[in-house]
Amino acid sequence: MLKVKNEGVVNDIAKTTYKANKKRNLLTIFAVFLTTFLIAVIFAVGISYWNIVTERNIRIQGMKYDIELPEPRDDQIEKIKEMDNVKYAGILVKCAIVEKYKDILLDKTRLYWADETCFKNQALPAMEYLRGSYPKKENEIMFSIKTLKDMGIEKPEIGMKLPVSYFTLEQTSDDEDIIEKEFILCGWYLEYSGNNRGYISKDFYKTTGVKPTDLTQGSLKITLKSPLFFEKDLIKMQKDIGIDSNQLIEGDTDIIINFLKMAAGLIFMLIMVFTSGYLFIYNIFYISVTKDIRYYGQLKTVGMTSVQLKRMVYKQAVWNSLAGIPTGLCLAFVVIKTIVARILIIVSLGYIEMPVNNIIVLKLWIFILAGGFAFLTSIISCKKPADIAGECSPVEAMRYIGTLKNIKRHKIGNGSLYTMAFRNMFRDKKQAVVIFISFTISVSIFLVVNVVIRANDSKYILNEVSNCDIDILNETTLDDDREQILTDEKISEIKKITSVESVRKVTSAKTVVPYDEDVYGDYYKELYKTRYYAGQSYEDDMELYKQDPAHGFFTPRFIGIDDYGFEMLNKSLGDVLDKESFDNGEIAVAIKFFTEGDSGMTGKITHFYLPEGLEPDKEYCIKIAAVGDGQMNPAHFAGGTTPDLVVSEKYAKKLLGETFTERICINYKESYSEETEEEVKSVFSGEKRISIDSKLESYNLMKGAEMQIKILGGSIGLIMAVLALLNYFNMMAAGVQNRSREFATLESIGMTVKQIKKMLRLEGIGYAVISVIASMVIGLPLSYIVFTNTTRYLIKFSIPWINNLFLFTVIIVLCMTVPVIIYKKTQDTSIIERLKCNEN
Amino acid sequence: MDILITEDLKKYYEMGEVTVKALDGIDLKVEKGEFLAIVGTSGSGKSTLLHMLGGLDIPTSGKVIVDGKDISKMTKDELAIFRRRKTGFVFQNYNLLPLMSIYENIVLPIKLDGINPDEMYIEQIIKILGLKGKEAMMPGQLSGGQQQRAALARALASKPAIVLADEPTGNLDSRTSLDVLGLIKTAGEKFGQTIVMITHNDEIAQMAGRIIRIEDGKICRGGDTNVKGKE
Repeated sequence: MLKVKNEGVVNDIAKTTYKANKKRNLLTIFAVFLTTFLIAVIFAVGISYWNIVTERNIRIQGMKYDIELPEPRDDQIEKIKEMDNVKYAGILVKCAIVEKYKDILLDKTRLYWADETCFKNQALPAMEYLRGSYPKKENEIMFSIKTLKDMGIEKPEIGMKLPVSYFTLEQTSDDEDIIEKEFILCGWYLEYSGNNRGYISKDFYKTTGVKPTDLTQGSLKITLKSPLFFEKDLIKMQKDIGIDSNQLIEGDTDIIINFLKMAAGLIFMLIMVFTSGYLFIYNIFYISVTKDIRYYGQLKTVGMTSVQLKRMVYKQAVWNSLAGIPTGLCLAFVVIKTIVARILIIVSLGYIEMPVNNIIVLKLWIFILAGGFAFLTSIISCKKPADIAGECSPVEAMRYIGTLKNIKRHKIGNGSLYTMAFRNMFRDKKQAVVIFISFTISVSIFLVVNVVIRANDSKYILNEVSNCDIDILNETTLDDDREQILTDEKISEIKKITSVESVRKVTSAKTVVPYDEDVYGDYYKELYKTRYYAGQSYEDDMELYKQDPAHGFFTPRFIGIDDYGFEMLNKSLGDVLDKESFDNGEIAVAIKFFTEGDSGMTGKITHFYLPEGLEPDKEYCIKIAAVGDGQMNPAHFAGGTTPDLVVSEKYAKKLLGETFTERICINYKESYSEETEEEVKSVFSGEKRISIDSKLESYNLMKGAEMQIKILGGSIGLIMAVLALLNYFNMMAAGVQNRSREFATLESIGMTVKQIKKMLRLEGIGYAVISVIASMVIGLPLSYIVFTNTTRYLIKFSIPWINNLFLFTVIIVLCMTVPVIIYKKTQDTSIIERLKCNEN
Repeated sequence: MDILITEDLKKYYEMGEVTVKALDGIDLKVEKGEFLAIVGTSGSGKSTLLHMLGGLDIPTSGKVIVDGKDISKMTKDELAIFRRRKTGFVFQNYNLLPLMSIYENIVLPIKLDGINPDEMYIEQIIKILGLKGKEAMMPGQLSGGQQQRAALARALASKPAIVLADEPTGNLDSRTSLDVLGLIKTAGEKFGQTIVMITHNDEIAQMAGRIIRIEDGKICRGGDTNVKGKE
């Protein structure tokens, strides 16, 4: 058989058909454009976000590693270096602290020695840049830019002389041994850890006498071959190297879970976008092909083959893609580079400074993948319409009546407008399904977006997590020479401020609880099974406890709370406490950490001493009425491993005489009031031994991120909604036009325009209500999952009903009005014209 | 008594620069209970006249008075209610609603008026028109003749004063055509309804009580109510 060269003719017909359908093609191009844009943005955001989390950890640590082992022994270092899953293991030792440069006092400027592996493979990747080289000679030193700036050196130079005062961290030395030394600057670097630090040579490190095994000074930084690891991997590593009692391999054990969560979120979003785009493009082509089916039939009668017809439909899809994909990618590029970058920085990094280029992934493959996905969506969407066009016989094409051919006998209805509307909704089941799916997807996304916005709503978060407007903490609480800074006079002064509503205080003191197997036995056994005590000997420690209950390792805090504090604690415990008994000192609440449940402590009597009390040698006893965890601790500072005891302030005063105020929590009459805050802060002006946690300050930090999330989330939701709504408009427009003859018939037998509009409105409401119900069934559980997995604060999930109801109302109103508007615009000719127009 | 009167009824269409006179001064009177056939060649204006009589189209000028009311001055919704209560239409293409059963199609004009159908009467129509047992079927499941009978049943269901039939047998074979026409005539006589029918088939027109012929938008024969039977 000879091959006929008809490619040109098919091309010409395809072009003519394409030109004749300008409106349809513009809509399709718009859909391809939005789909491409969304896929590219979602890809880039997902991957950039992951990069940010990783990068942030590197920046905060000032080093690139996955896990670390503190105070490593030589044998442990060797074993770890030989492990199959370890890529690098570098040693870092903190050996000295510089106090002064010339006459400038410095804020804890630590000097580190890093071995070659640590510096090259772990420290260097966390630096933005490095000038000079790592110290080699004993008097050479390298500082971070921040440290040099603190020293007043704006333009550092290699070879500069730096006279400093420092003390070593050698365990036998004390703070008094200040050494004066002139270092030579051999390099500097920019990093973002926010800490003041410098590196010194191996020779200098040796002179300090500090060893890697010294408590808190030495550390083995480990980079794994695969950065994804489970907690069990760390436990196994600990066992393999035989850790000491004070050692614990530290690492983010949630990394795999977080990675999977991010991947699942990304995949879910892509599926949603893909489906939305598919439904939209499919729908446009489906409507267009079924509308033009007679035209295709005519083409067939003049000899066009099925393959040629299909090719013609696909060609149009390709042309649409060629127009939509590049524009979508261009917009995505601009949006990612500008808006997304800013949002990610604010959301993920907070105060940590980081150049945009380091975070945002603008790799070519992302754009190729996004374009490929969008192209695939476009082509797959056309398959069914192309099949219809290609496989319909010429005669069938001339008689093609779409989906009405399959209507079977059904129960006789009451003929009301409601019944008519209901039947019309499902007259084309495919159309109904497309409407429901596209609406359900976009509304579900909106529900999720609403919840994500709620999860990041600054005021909502702050109101949930902080129970006061400003929290002032005495930082000297645990010091030997602690000082009563939050005095009753200061508290009275605060109370005098008219815009202050309440001031409550939390007092604390050291207490000694003798070893008591009956009360604490189960708790300690559980505690020593946790990862945090993996290297410690339960038997040895308990023996120590029995012999020396006053050992700092065991001594808990004795916390006094006022009436308001009681109310809050009792509420979080589930109202199990009797106020009178609590006030009288008959009952206390035990606060423990790391273990689950109450370990059988509830209801038992515990004994304790108060070394700072009126009778230091007297043994007191109190019943533990409830056990709470760290979240419920009214105090800021915790004591040793034995659970802290929370009692009433009255009782604490009775035993201690004067109590020591650890923190005060202040509520304003008007939350977030800047004036009140200023007045409160002025009471402690110049006081450096306190720390302040202000709701207003947190709000100011968080509101930028909140706004950006609203914009990003809202935009994604809006784009999906635009796709769904356009889908709906498009389908209703086609539906109303296809039913033109039916409307004319209805009018001819006496249906008023008002009744027709009512019927159309009912159809719209039906679509909207079913979509909203489906979205609630899918979207609400989904939003719960997203909320619980994304919230960074311990806030409760709640449905943002106002936003959601607003959304539902908008959908219902649009669904109701659109068909009526389309009807008004398209059915404005006389009944007869419409009847004739649709006669075959 | 004249149930239907037209006075100088005109319908002009603008086709570019040309004015097409579809109806050009029709004066017609139809008595109650009369069976009138309108004949004419294609494009003569007979369908336009029928549409004017049924309030489906608005005249350029002149009057259409049905049961003493001038429908040419009615609003769209008034016209819809007029059609629902006073007229019954039978189209050549049946125009049954595809999503409704035969029964639902028949009673729809009554339901649209917010009243319950007279079941005895509907039952009677269904029986006369041979649709018994077909009530729950969908239009697409019936033959052309059955669909046209269903359309006729719908036209009669609301007991309209006038039944307007536009080429009711146009899509039917000759045997079915005669059946349907017989039924129209019988039903009209039985229920005392006025029937106005368009046809281009002279044989079918002969079944009417009076025939008028239209040419170029004007009645050329039979406009006078005294001319009975053949033209």
